[in-house]
Amino acid sequence: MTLTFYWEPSLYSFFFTALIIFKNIALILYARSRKKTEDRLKYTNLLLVLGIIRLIYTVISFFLPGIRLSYFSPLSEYFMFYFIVILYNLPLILEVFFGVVLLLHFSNYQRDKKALVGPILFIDAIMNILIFNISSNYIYVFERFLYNETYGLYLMVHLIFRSILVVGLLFIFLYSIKLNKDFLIMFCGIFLGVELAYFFNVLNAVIIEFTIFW
Amino acid sequence: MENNERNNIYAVAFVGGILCIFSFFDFDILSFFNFNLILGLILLLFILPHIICGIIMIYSAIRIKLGQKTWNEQKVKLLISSWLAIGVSLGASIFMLIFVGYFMLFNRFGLIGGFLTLLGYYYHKHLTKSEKLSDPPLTPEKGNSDSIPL
Repeated sequence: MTLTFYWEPSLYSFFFTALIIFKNIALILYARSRKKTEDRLKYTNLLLVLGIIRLIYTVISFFLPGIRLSYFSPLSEYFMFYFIVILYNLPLILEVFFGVVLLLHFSNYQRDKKALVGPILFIDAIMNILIFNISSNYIYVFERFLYNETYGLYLMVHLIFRSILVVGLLFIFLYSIKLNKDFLIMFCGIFLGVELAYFFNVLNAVIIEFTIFW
Repeated sequence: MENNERNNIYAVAFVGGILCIFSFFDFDILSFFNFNLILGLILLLFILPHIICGIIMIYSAIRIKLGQKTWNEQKVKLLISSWLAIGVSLGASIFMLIFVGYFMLFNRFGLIGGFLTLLGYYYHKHLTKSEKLSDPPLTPEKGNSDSIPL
């Protein structure tokens, strides 16, 4: 087991974090712009708070520890691994609340049932990813000698859950165009872009995995 | 009401431009150059159109935001740049299929930026068309409704 920083300074990681920070700032600016016009401030205030928490988490994530395990590392070292896994599942838990707030926010001032499809799919996918991540990490511990065997299956299931998330974000993006809100379009567009990039990355890994082993 | 009447669709082009420019930072150039100098140069050549398209998209989005141009004046430029971004990324991936050995999704961010701008453009077109159809009020049919005695 070797402990390092999760965030490694490189050209790619620097600009990718800049993109994520831009995403969170767009959410904060959207909530601030809505505060001027909207009457019901409960959910816009919640969106503002969630955006600030997300921004703080991205700044903190520079200093979080990263972990590299070998196949033959003893079981006692996995307690640290569990702790770090829970730490990295925190933004997913936060995004469940974000999805619920977005659902209530959309249901408040627009009586359009189609608008609720996006946030519902978003919450569903985030919950699935959360449960799957936690369960799969436990499976890796007990079958860590079979890691190479189960890795392709893991990637495929991960791809399916991520595709649900992408579809939900696509619905939110289209609804933000219908609402004609510029900050919301920017936030959802960048969010969707980052998620699609991750989706393509996993897809590429699946293709490589199955071309090598099958 | 003024916020709802103003056309905020320029944000789609802005996001697409940011994602297209980000494609320059998506892959490690030095590793490609270490692997093969000519291949690295070719991949760099594939990225240049994405950066140009991204700059065009952001420039047009800023001009729409400032009120110097309208969406309809800039839409052809945006359509050409987004289709070019998608085409170049897919063409580069076919190039990689031939010369590297497998279908490597080269330059994802250019593909995504072009895709999002196209999606926003066509969805906005669909929305405005449906609004225009519902704009004129429906004329009541003559005869039946008036002739019924109370």
